Amino acid sequence: MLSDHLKKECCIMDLKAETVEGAIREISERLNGMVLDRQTFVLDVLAREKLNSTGIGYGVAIPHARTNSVKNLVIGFGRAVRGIDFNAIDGQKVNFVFVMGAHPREIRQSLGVLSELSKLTLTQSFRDSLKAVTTSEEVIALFKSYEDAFYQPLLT
Amino acid sequence: MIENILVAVEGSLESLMTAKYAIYLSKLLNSRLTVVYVVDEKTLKDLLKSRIFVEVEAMEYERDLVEQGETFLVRIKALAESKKVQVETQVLRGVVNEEITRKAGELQAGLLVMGEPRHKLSRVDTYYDEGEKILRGVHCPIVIVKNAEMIEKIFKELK
Repeated sequence: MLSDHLKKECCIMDLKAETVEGAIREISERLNGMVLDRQTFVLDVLAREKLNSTGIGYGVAIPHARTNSVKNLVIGFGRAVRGIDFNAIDGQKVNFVFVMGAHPREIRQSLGVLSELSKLTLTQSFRDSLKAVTTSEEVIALFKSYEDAFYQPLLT
Repeated sequence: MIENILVAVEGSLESLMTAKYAIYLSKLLNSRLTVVYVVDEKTLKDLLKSRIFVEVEAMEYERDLVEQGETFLVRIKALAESKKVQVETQVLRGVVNEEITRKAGELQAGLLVMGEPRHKLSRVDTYYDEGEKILRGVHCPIVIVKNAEMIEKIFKELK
């Protein structure tokens, strides 16, 4: 689950960056300790972003990469109140940036996390709540509450 | 008598336990064992459609999933053969639950062996776990494998 990977220390409630590269760098700084080589990590994410924008619309971008600069899957989140021009599919500025890196062997894990992130961020009420929260703790709690609402234990 | 047992694996350690238990059952019941690994093309397509993936990236993931599946199936085949169990392995591609349900029907499987669905089951259809869909879709009895320690023990003891 996504909330297993997203830590409150890796959430920025008010990104200072005003560019795609700046946002990726700023969020990546929060992944300290989880990234073996931050410079390589940032370059790998930027290289992927150059292929095509990960601005998927609705004010959301999910820059990501398969990279040897992490041992395990990492995610960071940044909220840009004024919005960043990510060249998103719908032309809107991006307010929510999720940076994800996964080791190349973590194929299923990264597919699962990207898939969940895609589904959650397509949900308008989720995006509205993400806009309203004020602390990192609330971001984590929001993810958990949506996961709890969407899922329930199997075979109860 | 159960002629055919089908086991679905996904390349994890938990999946290895599932396969071992299927080998154990096949040996006890003198059944033919088929092991399948499904490349989840639906998720790849969804990620492409939502523009999270670009074409080349989806192809790279698909290639690695196939490679991971093939490597895993070789390992399971060797395990089965070490216990003198007749086994066939196959990498399938498509929607995971649909491919497993189709394969169970094609083989007229008397039993499907699968791991415990990884996380949780959704209340919303689009979030349904693949495991849940398999439970609903297949027409044969299903064994859900748990307790790695016990399985490791009985597998070791199997002659």
